[in-house]
Amino acid sequence: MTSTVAATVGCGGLPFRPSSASPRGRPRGRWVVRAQAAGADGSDDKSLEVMRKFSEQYARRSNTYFCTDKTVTAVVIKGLADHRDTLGAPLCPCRHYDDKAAEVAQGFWNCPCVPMRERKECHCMLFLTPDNDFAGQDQVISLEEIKEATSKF
Amino acid sequence: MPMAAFNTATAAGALASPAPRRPSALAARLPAARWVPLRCSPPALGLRRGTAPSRRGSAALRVEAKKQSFSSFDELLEKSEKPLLVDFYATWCGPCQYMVPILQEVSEKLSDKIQVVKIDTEKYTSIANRYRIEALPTFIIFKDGKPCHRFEGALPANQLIEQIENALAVTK
Repeated sequence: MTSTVAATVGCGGLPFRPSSASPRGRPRGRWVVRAQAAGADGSDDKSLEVMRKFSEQYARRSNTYFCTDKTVTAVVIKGLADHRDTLGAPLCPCRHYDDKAAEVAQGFWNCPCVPMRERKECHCMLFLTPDNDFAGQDQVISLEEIKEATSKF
Repeated sequence: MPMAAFNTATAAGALASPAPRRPSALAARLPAARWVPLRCSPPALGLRRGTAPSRRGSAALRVEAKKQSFSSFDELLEKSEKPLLVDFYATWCGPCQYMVPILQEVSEKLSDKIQVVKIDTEKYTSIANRYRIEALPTFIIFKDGKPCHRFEGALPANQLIEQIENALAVTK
């Protein structure tokens, strides 16, 4: 029976398979099993970090840049993280929905949304093409930057 | 004060300095500058710090020029003496937050012509549904209680003023 929780063994990062658990029983010594379920660590930071990393990678990959006003970037990343926490997927935070769960299931507006993937259109101003007036030079944003910018809301 | 089902913060008339009009807003700031925390906003003419305990559906401590309660959006439309610019927003919508100081500026400049109203689409989903709001921010200009012009997305103050003045100039 496979575990539904991603688990890593502390030594060497090898995947831990319950069926091949140490024949001697409980792992000990330097073997540490770390299990992470979504939101297990207090939720706020994990999703925030996931969406932060995603945003940086996706900007690089799509050759887009963050807004000159990084607060916009921070707010959107926070919105994505919140939806990831509450809905299970990073639904676009810059839209109003009649039924969010249905939208998540449908997928069109899960970040990166179809308009972004197809035409690099991000009305959230998260991923901006270089020709956009609002586009800055950054494709990076730190967790501290995000937390500071969003702490006031 | 017993809470009505609907509650808006509106910035009316003479504001001497930019000030937040809803809990999620802050004192206006220049792009790339630090956000100024609510408590450090300089006092300004006509402003009063909201000392009342938080009303149902709203966050604590807000600095606002004028806060009015309406039992429904319809009542707001009905009782408004001026055309309305309604900003449909959400807290975690980046462009919506970007528009906060711009709306402040525009509301001051056009205070005699239009009243700015903000609707949190997460709190007032039925109103957002009624007007088929999709992208945020969406701006709808209401004249005589009816929507007469609608546009989406963040835009600079001068363009927003242009949109408003064009909409108001059209005769019915």
